[in-house]
Amino acid sequence: MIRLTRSHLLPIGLDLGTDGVKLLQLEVVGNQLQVVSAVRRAWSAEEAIQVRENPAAALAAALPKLLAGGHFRGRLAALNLPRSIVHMRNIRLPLMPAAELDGAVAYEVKALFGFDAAEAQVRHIPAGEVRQGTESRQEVIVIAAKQSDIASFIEPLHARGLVLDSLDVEPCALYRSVERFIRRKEDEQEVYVLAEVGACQTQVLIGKGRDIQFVKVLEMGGSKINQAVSAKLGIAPAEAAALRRRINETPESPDAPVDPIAQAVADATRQPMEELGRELALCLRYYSVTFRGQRPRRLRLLGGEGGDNKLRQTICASVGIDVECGRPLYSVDSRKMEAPLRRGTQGEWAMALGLALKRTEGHFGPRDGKPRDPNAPAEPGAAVEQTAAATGEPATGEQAALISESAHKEPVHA
Amino acid sequence: MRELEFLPQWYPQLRTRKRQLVLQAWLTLAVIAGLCLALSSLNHSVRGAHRALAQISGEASATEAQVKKLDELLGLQKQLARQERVMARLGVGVETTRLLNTLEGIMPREMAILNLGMETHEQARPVANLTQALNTRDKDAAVVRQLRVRLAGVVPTDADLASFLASLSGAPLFKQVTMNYARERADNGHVMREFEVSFVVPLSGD
Repeated sequence: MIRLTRSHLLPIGLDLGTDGVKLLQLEVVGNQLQVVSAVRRAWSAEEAIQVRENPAAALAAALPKLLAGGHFRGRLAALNLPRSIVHMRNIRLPLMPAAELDGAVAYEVKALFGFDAAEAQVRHIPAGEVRQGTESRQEVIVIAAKQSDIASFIEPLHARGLVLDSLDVEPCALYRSVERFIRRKEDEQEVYVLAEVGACQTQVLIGKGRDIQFVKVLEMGGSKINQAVSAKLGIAPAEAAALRRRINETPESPDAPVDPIAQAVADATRQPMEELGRELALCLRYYSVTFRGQRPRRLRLLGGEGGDNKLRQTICASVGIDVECGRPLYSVDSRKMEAPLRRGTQGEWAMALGLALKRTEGHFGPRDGKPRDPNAPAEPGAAVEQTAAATGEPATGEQAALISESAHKEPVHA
Repeated sequence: MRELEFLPQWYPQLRTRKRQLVLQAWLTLAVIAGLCLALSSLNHSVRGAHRALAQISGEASATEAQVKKLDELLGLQKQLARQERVMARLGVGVETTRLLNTLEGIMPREMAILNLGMETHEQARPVANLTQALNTRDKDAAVVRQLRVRLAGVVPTDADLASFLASLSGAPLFKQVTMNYARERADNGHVMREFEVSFVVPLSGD
């Protein structure tokens, strides 16, 4: 087929997880994202052990098959650093200009991580201004990885012919899967809560608009839930995972008789899910206390367990805000993905999507974005009226200014 | 959103160097391929030139042989010309035995030779005008040489004489056959015809 619009191929987003690996390559066609190829592979028991011990070697060994399994163009890839070599801490520093922040962070590295800044790659994310007692300070998320660890991670992959375009960290990649679809000024004021529930860990990210403000890794995930089911029903964890998946895919009907197995699974999973919900609630409370401003209105569940309705309901009961199963590929044309990969909410692709979008600079229109009212007058202040009408409150002067600016700059999208 | 990049600085440099290396390798290959192509083309040309040279050498050697043959022929021609000049100066030597053999072939069985005289006559070739005389390069060619033969013999009858004269006139070597006389002769009671003829053998090759 001859395509008349210009396309821009993006690097392969490679999400290396403890239970499997996902590769996703996108291209930008016009103003839309299209999947070029996607491959997902679950690790075998031996491979899973190897991934925990030496993720680079395990990935390097699997790379040829993974790349051959899809229709990827080129060998340029964006990866996350493995969690095992990433060191992350939050620090609070006095308010200072951004230019001085680098030096201050480098000064703190030795005390934070126990190694010198010279022998590590140190990056930071200014999370925002916080009140500590009576004084204002700025919270900074410091992320560091030792040069030697990075080199030993890169070398086996490079030897296998993978060309690294970028080395990212999980919070940034995950948040990018949302951030690249923020186009309106009013959306930039929204607080996004993402919880990526993986096999072993859950990553909680809270950000305002385009900026990450809070990162927390919880040492609980799908495997803990599976183990609970496994212990309750006396089946293998893999069977427990398959059973949970099957129950989740079965549509719920209030008239249908209660399935005893589903009930047993629900009983078994309740405790770990509630525990996760409590942790998430604590994260939200910390955020609300630490960062003043707009409150989060909903939480998106991502990751391999993100599509679990039972988990969503349990967490919803714990955190007290709306919880939805995130659909990261909803605004991406994913027709080229194989049918099994398109099932469910596809929450597990969030990380790979974020990595694949690393080199994009623009922002893309979300399919589930709020459409503009076509009858609304196209004049400054129209959006203010819309917002005011939606919330039932009069818009503040600052909001009016922001929305007015938005109406001037932001393109209309459906 | 603040983008964080953990890719070490050396990695892009390594990629750039690798790209440069690959590019250089390809360029080197291209240059080598070009050189090979040029060399092959040159070899082809040289082989073609060698073939042409061999052909020309063959032709030259053939021509040389022909020239040699021509030289030989020219030498022979010169020799023959010299001989011709000598012959023109000296005249053709006619061996007496060969002349006698020829006469014997012509003579009837009953005829006998009484006398045979041979003398060489040289006479200046007549020219039409002075210009022709000046243009005559070879002075020897201006002389006409003849061997004049006078033969006296006896035959039994006139018929034999007539037969001899006819044969003599028919011989290609003998010119200007003339009967000087013919008379009867009696010897020991036998009547016979005595005669004398003269003829010319040209010695100048005309």
